[in-house]
Amino acid sequence: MYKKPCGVFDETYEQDSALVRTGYRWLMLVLLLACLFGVLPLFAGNYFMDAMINIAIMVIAALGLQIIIGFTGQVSLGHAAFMAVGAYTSAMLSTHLGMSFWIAMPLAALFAGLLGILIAMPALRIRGFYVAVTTLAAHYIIMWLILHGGNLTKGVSGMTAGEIRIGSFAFDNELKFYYLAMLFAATAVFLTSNMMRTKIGRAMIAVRDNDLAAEFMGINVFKTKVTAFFLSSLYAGVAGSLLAHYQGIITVDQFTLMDSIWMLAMLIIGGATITGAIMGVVFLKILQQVVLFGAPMIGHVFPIFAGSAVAAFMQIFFGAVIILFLIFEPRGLFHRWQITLSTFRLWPFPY
Amino acid sequence: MDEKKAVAVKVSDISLSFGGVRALSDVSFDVHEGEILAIIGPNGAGKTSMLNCINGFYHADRKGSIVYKDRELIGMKTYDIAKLSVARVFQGIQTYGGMTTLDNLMTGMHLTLDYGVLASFFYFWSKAKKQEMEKRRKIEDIIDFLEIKHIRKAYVGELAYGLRKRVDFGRALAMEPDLLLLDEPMAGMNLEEKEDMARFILDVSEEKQTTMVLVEHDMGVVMDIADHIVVLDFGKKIADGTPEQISKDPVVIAAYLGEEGN
Ligand SMILES: Nc1ncnc2c1ncn2[C@@H]1O[C@H](COP(=O)(O)OP(=O)(O)OP(=O)(O)O)[C@@H](O)[C@H]1O
Ligand SMILES: [Mg+2]
Repeated sequence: MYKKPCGVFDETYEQDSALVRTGYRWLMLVLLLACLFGVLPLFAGNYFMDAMINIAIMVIAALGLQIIIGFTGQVSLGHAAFMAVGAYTSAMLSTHLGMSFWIAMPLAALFAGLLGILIAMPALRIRGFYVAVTTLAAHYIIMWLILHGGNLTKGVSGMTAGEIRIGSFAFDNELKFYYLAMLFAATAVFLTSNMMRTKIGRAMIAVRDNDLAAEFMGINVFKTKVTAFFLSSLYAGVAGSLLAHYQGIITVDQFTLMDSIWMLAMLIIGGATITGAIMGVVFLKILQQVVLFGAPMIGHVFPIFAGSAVAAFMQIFFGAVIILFLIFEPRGLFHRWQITLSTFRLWPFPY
Repeated sequence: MDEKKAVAVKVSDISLSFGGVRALSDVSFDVHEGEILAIIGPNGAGKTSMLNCINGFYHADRKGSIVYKDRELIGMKTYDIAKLSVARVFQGIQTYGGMTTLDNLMTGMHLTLDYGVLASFFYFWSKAKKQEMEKRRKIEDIIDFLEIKHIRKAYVGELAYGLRKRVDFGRALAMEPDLLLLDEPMAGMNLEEKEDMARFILDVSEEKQTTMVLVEHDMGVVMDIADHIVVLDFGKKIADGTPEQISKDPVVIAAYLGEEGN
């Protein structure tokens, strides 16, 4: 149960359902934003900025996946493919038609969203794992089409995407892009949080928890799932488009089935909330860095682990982390964090 | 029973079968405006099936009919029937475990909120916020009425059985129903919880004149709160009348004694 510190009572319903409820939380939020937008860029180098940009983009994608898996309860394995759809559509519009990012990105996102529901629609009518199977198949079909798209997608050689600019200002280095990516991620978090405290968000959770009861209460279960899937793919499209224009070039091997599964893993680790999705992404990225630096050292000490064994080691290590989470913390990092926090906030007067 | 009251739901010749199993055979009865009609009968008699037919969740044979608010319910979709202000309290636990009590009840209000996805994204600058706050007041009234203020923000999946049943009831009330279908709302409760629930049902009935169909095994409760009783046995209606008539009906006594004799 969620407990606010003693003395804090909700005066109005408005206050009660606000996103940020106590002065303390406002302070933390302002500090966090000041840190992300003000302090961090002053000290961090390009390597760190690059990592943060990747995190911001992944947060958008993970939020999308959270909407369909964590909130609506439908397992999708096509998320990386929908990211690819967004990335390639945006890149093609930019390269072939010379479109600006600000037009190409919304179009790409919309296309990814519509393609998503077109693919998932038949499976969403039925209960069970049909969505997982359908999106798995869709992944391979989409990747095959991109790979064999000839001049349109440039196949194995990769597709270029233009710089993002506003007038004569170009987001052409890590620092500038960092601000843009953070702004996109923050907006995505804010809009999703809004949605989750309205009837749309509640309908999704109702479908996840008990689609039968939801139907009896007047919720159109099928329509709710379709809406969720559309939004999910739309978010993937935005993330893909950002990635394409950040890197300037994208290739098919950036969107593998493994990437979809990693995103799923992030959500398992983080838990089925918005904060959970963010925490999952950050946690896995940190873990990745640890392995990246740690594995060569291990290879140094134990030569049998050197070279290609490092990759294998990474897989095993991540697998183990996820299994541990499933066993010990099935509700994710965020849940643990809330428990820790609530004991803290109530201390020393737990009433 | 007040014979002058208008008929709210007219159930005629309802038959339903699952493969070879006949769950309901030619069941007919009238539910009058504002009354509490109880459906009783032994396990597997077809009580839940009857409610599911009214909700449009089971599809009764087309030769029968269920007329409510001048509409034929057979053939309509479940969520469309909900739009006619038909609410349901389920047998067993069917609440949304991952939501708080408050959100469970707010979900009951789903149909009365009229805004789309875009408005939900831009909460502060849209009609979403205004509507949510308006409805919120009504929800808080229900929470006060059901005495569940202490669990407002508790996750329903973590609550005790009796409280979850109360949340289920609250969620149905949040739909502001004209017709309330209650499937064993007191099953598995202790005496005190049962008395509370019976009191809530009677209060709603008196204050809002909501028409109710109640399925219940506890004969004491049924005799106390029902205005009208329909008895089902093996999918057939074997009696229909006031509590007094039913308690003296030889067919009912035989069926129930036969049941206990097994
Ligand atoms: N979905 C279903 N599929 C197959 N058979 C069903 C289904 N629902 C109900 N039945 C059958 O229909 C008959 C009536 O069941 P129903 O659940 O309506 O009884 P009930 O009177 O509500 O019993 P209880 O008091 O145990 O709740 C039973 O024989 C049951 O097995
Ligand atoms: Mg039943």
